[in-house]
Amino acid sequence: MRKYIYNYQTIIHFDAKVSQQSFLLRCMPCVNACQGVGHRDLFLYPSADLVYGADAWRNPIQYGTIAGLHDSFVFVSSGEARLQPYGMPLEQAYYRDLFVVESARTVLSRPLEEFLRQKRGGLRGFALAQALAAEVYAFMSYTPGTTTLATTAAEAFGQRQGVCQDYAHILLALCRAAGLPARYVNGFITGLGTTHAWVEVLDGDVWRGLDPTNNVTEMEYGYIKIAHGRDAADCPVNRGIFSGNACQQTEVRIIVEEI
Amino acid sequence: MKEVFMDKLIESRDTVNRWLERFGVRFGIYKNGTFKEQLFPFDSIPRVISAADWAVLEKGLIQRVDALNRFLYDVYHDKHIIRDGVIPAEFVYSSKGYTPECEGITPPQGIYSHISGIDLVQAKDGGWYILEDNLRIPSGASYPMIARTITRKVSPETFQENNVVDSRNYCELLKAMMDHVNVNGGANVILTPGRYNSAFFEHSYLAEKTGALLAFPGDLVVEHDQVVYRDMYNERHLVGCIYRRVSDEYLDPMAFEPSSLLGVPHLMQAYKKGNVALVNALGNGVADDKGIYYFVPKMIEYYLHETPILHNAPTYLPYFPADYQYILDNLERLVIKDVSEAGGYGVVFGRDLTPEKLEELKRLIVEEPRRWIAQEVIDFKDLEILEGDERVERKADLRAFVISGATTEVWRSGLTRFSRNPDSFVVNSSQGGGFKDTWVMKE
Repeated sequence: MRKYIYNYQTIIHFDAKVSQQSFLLRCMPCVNACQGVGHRDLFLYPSADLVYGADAWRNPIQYGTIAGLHDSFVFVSSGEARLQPYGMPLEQAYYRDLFVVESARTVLSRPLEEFLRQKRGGLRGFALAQALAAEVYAFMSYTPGTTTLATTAAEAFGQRQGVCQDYAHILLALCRAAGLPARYVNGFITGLGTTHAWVEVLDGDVWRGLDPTNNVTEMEYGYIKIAHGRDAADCPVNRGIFSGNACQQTEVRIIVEEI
Repeated sequence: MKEVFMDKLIESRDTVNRWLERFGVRFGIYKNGTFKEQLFPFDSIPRVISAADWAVLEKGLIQRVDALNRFLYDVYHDKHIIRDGVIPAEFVYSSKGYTPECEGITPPQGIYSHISGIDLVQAKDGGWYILEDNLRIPSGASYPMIARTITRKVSPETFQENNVVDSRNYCELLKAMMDHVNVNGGANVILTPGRYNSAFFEHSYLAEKTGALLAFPGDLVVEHDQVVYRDMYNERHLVGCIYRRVSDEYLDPMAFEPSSLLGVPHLMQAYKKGNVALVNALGNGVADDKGIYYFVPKMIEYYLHETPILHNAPTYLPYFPADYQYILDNLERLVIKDVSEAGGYGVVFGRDLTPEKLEELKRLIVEEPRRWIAQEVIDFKDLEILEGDERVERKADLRAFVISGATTEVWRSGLTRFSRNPDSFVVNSSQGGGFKDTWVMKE
């Protein structure tokens, strides 16, 4: 087992007062077969009644509403995560059928299909997924600012540029087209300063991690998971809505260290 | 039996239409980005359904809706029907209406489709066929309701002398159902997207007739996982049942479409904890998907161990090899529908296509068999309508309303829509169609 401390801060500044702000956060590590937690803390400003719950995929969520006027919103999630080598058993038998269906952001395009045909070789199962992760890493160039939160796998693949979310979506589209159940993961890694996205692929009855952005095909330590879903739309860190005519500016800081 | 005292009723068409106008019976449409309201033309010749015909319809509709409710429960719980190979998994999980957020949630009283609008057509041979099931927000009951109220005033003799079942009880059925699923004795609410929704007349009319509160976006908030209605004095009233006329995707910006201003933030969490009933339940779209329609007769056999009383229009799925070959061989005779489209879009009659277009469609079917269904063209029985003072025959369908509360009941009337264009099969009100009263006879 290895231990990590994490500190994840988001500060949102509004340029005018807002009220009736509802928020739903996915910012605390989940607990599963390879991931436990020591102390966990969530600080919120302005303070509000926080409810802890779970979403459709049983990811932990934290939600509430700030009724009064305010011009900033801050949340700080901190604590200690305890990691075993990455991997977790299949939770629900039907996930095998569900996570193989393409989702809105992972719709297959002709070029993606062609890429899969060229790269698949004689490989099958998880070995194929590993090879595809390496191929995506080699094909794409990591270029922040070229894609948005709404970019699809096909779009990012077409321009050969993107960030971790796009790499993950492309790998998901390829794996699903090859008949491999695969899902999107959001979380923290060491030394990055922002959240990271990677992929889990079902290998027999076990979900294994692949990080196409960093060419990691044997995931072991260092990946703190907060949520998974069909694609990025299922696991945003922060969702909110407020009353008021204001623009917002968001600052995010993450520190993750092995201890 | 023949209807009597009809002349006065039929001559009163214009009077009834003027009354409908005064009551504000309209529907809105968006055309080129602007909102326009239109009257929904009423035709005074009723569709008459005999007691014997109705008995079959009623039994068949109850059977169908009961099976659909069983399916919805199953699909969001143990999924027996998928595990037993009756419905292929990919039809369920790739359906736009499948909602993972609903997994494991049992709605109050276990009811998913409280108000089902089942669209039927009668063929020339008298048989009824199901065109589609509407299990999300079927609209339209208010039009025949108010038309019946008006026609009874305009021509009372007609209703004294004919054995027509009184259909003015729709809102009693609705209210009894809402009371049945209400989780805490709090208020029943009808949630409307607002004034500019196409069915706003209906929302306000149903609220008035059921005694429910008519809530606009912003009137409802979630506090401590309970839904409360804030009135004009900012007083809070606990809510136990929401008959929502806002579609799933806009219902909670925290769980679904994040930009929605029509929804209630955190409503999903209150619902998940059983603190409010939603009418209809979330996630019903998985059961009224065009691709799932094919399987409804199989659901009836699977869940109820009964033979389906009402038939689907003969439907083929290219996904299955036997159907695949049949479709390719008979394409020019069939109607082809794109399962991902709704509301009359993506419907193509093979006979209208040029040979080139037909080949192109074949190619699309070969490439993506899962995307299409094909149906035989049904020879509709036309209904008489008044065109000026002349009686002419036009295509028509029937939307039957089935209410599932303590029991499943069919409202003994329905919305009969007709096409005013002699060549058209499209009865949609937005295409200029009109409506008729639907008489169910006592004997």
